[in-house]
Amino acid sequence: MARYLLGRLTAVVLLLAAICLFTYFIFFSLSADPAVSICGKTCTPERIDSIRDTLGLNEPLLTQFWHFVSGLFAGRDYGTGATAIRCEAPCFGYSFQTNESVWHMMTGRLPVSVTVTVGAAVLWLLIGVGAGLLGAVKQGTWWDRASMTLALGGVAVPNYVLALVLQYFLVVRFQILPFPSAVSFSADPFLWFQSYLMPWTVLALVYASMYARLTRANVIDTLSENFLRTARAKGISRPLLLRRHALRPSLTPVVTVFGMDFAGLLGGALITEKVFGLNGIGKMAADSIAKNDQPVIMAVTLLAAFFAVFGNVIVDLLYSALDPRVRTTSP
Amino acid sequence: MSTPRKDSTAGTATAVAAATPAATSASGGNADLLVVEDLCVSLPSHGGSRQLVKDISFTVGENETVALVGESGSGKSLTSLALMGLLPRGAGVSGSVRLRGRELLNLSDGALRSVRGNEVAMVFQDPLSSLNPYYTVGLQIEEAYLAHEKGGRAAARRVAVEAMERVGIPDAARRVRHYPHQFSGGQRQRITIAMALVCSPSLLIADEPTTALDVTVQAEILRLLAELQEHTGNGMIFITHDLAVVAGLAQRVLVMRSGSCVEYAEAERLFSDPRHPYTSALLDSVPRMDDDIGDLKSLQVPSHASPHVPGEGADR
Amino acid sequence: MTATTALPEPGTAAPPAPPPPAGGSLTRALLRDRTAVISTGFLLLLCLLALCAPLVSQLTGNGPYTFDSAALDSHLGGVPHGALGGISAEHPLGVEPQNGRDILARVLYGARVSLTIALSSTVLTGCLGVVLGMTAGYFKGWVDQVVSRLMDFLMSFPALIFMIAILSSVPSGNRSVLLVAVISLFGWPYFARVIRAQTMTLAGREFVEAAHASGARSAAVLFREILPNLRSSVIVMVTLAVPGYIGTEAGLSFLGVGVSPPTPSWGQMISTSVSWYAVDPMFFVIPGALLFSTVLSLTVLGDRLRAVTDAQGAR
Repeated sequence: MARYLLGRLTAVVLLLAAICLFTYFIFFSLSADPAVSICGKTCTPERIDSIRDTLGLNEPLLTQFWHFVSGLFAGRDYGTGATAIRCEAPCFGYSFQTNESVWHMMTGRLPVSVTVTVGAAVLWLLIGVGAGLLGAVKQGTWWDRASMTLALGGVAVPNYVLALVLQYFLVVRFQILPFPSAVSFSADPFLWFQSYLMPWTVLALVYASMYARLTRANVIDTLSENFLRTARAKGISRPLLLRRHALRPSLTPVVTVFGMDFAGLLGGALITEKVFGLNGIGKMAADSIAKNDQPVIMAVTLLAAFFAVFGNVIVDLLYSALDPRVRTTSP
Repeated sequence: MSTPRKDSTAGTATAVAAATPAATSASGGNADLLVVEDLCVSLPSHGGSRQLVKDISFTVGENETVALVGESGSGKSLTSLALMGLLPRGAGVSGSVRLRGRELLNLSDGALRSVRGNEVAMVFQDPLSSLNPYYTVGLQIEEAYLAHEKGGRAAARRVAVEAMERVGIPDAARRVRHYPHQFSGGQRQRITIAMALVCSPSLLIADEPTTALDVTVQAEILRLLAELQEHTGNGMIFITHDLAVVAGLAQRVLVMRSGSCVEYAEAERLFSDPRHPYTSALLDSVPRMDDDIGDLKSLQVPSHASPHVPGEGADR
Repeated sequence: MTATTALPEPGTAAPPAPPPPAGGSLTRALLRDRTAVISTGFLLLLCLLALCAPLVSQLTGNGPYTFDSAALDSHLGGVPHGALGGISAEHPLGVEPQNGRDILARVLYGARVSLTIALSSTVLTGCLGVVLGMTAGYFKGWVDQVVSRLMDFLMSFPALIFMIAILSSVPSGNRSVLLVAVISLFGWPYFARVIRAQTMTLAGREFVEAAHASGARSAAVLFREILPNLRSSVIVMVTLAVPGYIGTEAGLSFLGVGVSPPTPSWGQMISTSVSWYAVDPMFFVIPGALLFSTVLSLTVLGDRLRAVTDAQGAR
């Protein structure tokens, strides 16, 4: 097991390094001159020169990459002397447009993204898995058909369309909810809840629909398994039969899918955050893309990749905890 | 077998009629444990419903084994599921199934549940897929006990270990905590047998219990079933497609084809003097030691119904 | 249809591969399904209208780029005259606020763009996914290692952020081609993963081994024996990929990095309508509803296809 974990960890580190390298070269080679884009709109040739110098853009690309990587672990200084800017480790770069270290920007916005994702995840798990289970147990009833039709529709609604429709009716037309804003929970719990309600719903709908369909299909598959017939032949009660023998085999795959989806969203629910103007990682990515603030784009990509890769590892560990067949056969 | 004969339903009916009285008397002084009369099973298909088991009648006495033999799709597994009340939703059953005089077919769900696993237990074909991979074998055996007996967890664990010892699993006290995939095929089947015997059922239905196993393991499992029966005196219905397996095991044999009874007779007589061409065909297809190699025969009796029966998943 | 490809080469001793679900019975099963028929009907109509977009705009006399300030109320800041976003005989679906472009023409031209991008991405993704997935699953060893690692690598990228970043940092050029390239780059691993797994199972089956034993070359085995058996899963995946890519394209255009204006696209129209939806909801409703119904129809169709092929596979 220890050897397996070690191997897994090495693979993860290699994967992250590859992603890092790839992202770096894509972003710093695609656009014409990083210094120009970093400099922003109000720019003078002198400023560009100084930025080029500060960033070490006159050095070879590989040396630049090395500076970036070492900055991640040891921090780095931009420029020299009195005007030098110190970027503490982990240094994901420095945004000259906002005059902030990117790490600082990210940590400031992560709570919003986490709030959006966690809230939505609770919603979609409750609704999606619940509807899927009910649909499978009451297969063929009107409830089953109605919820599955809804789920099919839910998969097809683009989330920004849903966001706009909800906003139109709930905020503009009937004024049931305030326009979402990133209020902190401690400041005003009720307003906080009202603010996040729409983003949660919008983000949750697509996933709830997918999970409802997935859960239902899994439960129906499990119900036709031979071991379920064996369990019935033992004469155990139906509630126990469903709870013990049908639930766990059908929900194990859902848990793994959930891990991946959740990890993917931690890196920013880009569209939802942007539409509702929530200041999370996703909106930061969208904004910096619009401004071509490359250090930020780079950092967000890396952060999201980091979540995705570790989400994958956690899913594997979860899977081996949930499925005894994996547990005892993995080296 | 070289001269296939048209096998009409009328012919089948007379064969049954001829066989039944002889067979009933064959059970001797034994009290009849299970009496099945005119059992019919139909499953819904494409709008209508198809009758897949037609007028099956037989009896099982205490300490007696009756074999149901037939090709896959002949309705033998459906028959056993009907006895257990385990047919898929929408299935239609008629006739009569009496266990110690009590009619099973019109029991409520709750009453039927207290019969299942308690008075009638079942062993299925594929021991890997019939055990839940997510739980230890101990838990799955205990579950069968706890469903019917008022004992605590500790008692159930004790019973489970005993049952595993009884079916010949070495080191049972440790092995109860293992998962199904950690056992070999033969051991898994032993565990499903242990699971079935935990409440000392008076009737055991074994649905192709050896089909998925190696030949040597097959023999062991058959021996185990016979020994256990000798010990507990339970009646047994043994379902198989292989007449050779039945020879030393069953007192009576019911040969099924396309849902109908083709021949129902004492085992000895059936083997020495098969009355129905289909039975002789089945007997001929069993390879013998004195057969020339290359002379393996396949069943070539005309079929009047498709052997392909939807819904009988256990055979495929 | 192409059922003949499933037959083994004449002259080889290979036993025939198990027949994949025949195209004919697939169509027949779908024709029996009312929702599938309605979805297909809608999609066909949409495709037809999109193809005939120039004809339609000639009939109504409105091109997708012609401004019509007469249809707008300049006193109200450029909101269309009349109810429901200026629906009238000249403009059957109304006009855009501010510039008065005909929504019908723009929606149809937008459909051309969206569908072309989605279909090309699907074709490219499908080809890459099938070829690489089959190669990895069939040859195993180092080929599989390389392809699998590449898939891991691409699948752990935050695709949306990355797509936006690439699209925004590439200065100009043909946006549509770039969109197709980017979508396919991140899309093929999802195809390849499934194909790889299925190829692995198929490669162990008797008819493939028999083909080998009779001396067939690898390429022949791959394309004659294995590919035909993958057909139904490819059909299903393709049908489900198209709505996904329509959604992706619309999303990217919504975020302003997709098709660049003035070329119309549904996502972009929705994006523009955001600032107007309080005063002119129809401007939002029309492209929104069209996007929703198209994606829904394709999803339903894919879903039914999968149900049919699953049922056939189980038999």
